[in-house]
Amino acid sequence: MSKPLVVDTTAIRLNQACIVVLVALAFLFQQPWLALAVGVVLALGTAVPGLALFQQVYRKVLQPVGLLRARVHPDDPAPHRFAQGVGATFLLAAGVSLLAFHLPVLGWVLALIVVVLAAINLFAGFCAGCFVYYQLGRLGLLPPVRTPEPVQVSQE
Amino acid sequence: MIERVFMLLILAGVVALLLVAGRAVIAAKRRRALAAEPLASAATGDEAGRVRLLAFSTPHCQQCHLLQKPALEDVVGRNSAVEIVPIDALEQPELAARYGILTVPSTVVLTADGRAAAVNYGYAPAKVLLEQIGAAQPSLAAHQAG
Repeated sequence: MSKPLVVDTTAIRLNQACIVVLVALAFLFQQPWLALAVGVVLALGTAVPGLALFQQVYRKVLQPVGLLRARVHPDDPAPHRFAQGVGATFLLAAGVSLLAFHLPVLGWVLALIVVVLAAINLFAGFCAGCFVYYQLGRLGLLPPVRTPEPVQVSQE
Repeated sequence: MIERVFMLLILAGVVALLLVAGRAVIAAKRRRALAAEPLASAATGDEAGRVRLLAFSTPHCQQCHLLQKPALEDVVGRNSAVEIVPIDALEQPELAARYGILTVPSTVVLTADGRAAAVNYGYAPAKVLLEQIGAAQPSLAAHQAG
């Protein structure tokens, strides 16, 4: 039996909050390694969801102690993973620009684009990466969004 | 350091401004939708004198099929007096434009005489829809179970 396609919006929002805070701190204190590290964390989480550090902290620490509660909805996780991959690419490019090529303007602009898009997703619920995924799916350039089996939905 | 703090504050201000502007645009669209000319029941091929719930969707809309559709079925189960009118927003762009629909799912509650009583952009839970339907024609509230 295949795993039900569900998305925990709390985990996604925590991921966005971590990105916003950590990359903003990296910019504030001029720590390109921190921006690069966030990019690596996102890239690993995109490639192997079990290695998504922020989500592991949520599942193994914050959720068990009751600080955060799961909000599970039937949805295809692929667009969200794609969005995370886009964020990872931008942050890795930012890290390389800053550390290898010493291009501070390009590097920080790339990093701050990720901060702005993550903040818009966090506060307004608009996922730009998911939107791109849906559009590419409609054009046949990415797999179409899958329809999950009906599951118990937590309604807000 | 100070200049970077200032830049982050400007960035936060821009994001906040975008969010406020987005909400203002949606509020204006909702006001215009609520002020739209009454929609005759013949336009949707429905029986006259019933509260209608226009449910805008598209074939590729995930939320429409996964969340909104079950919520609409729940509404019908609890209030048989309401007429659900599924509308493909891509096939009926005039109707979508009339109610300022830019996202799916969207739902519009119409009173018995076709006036828009409530407009929901995005997923609307059954509880909210039932309240809006009840407010659109208070006498229907008696039909609601639970």
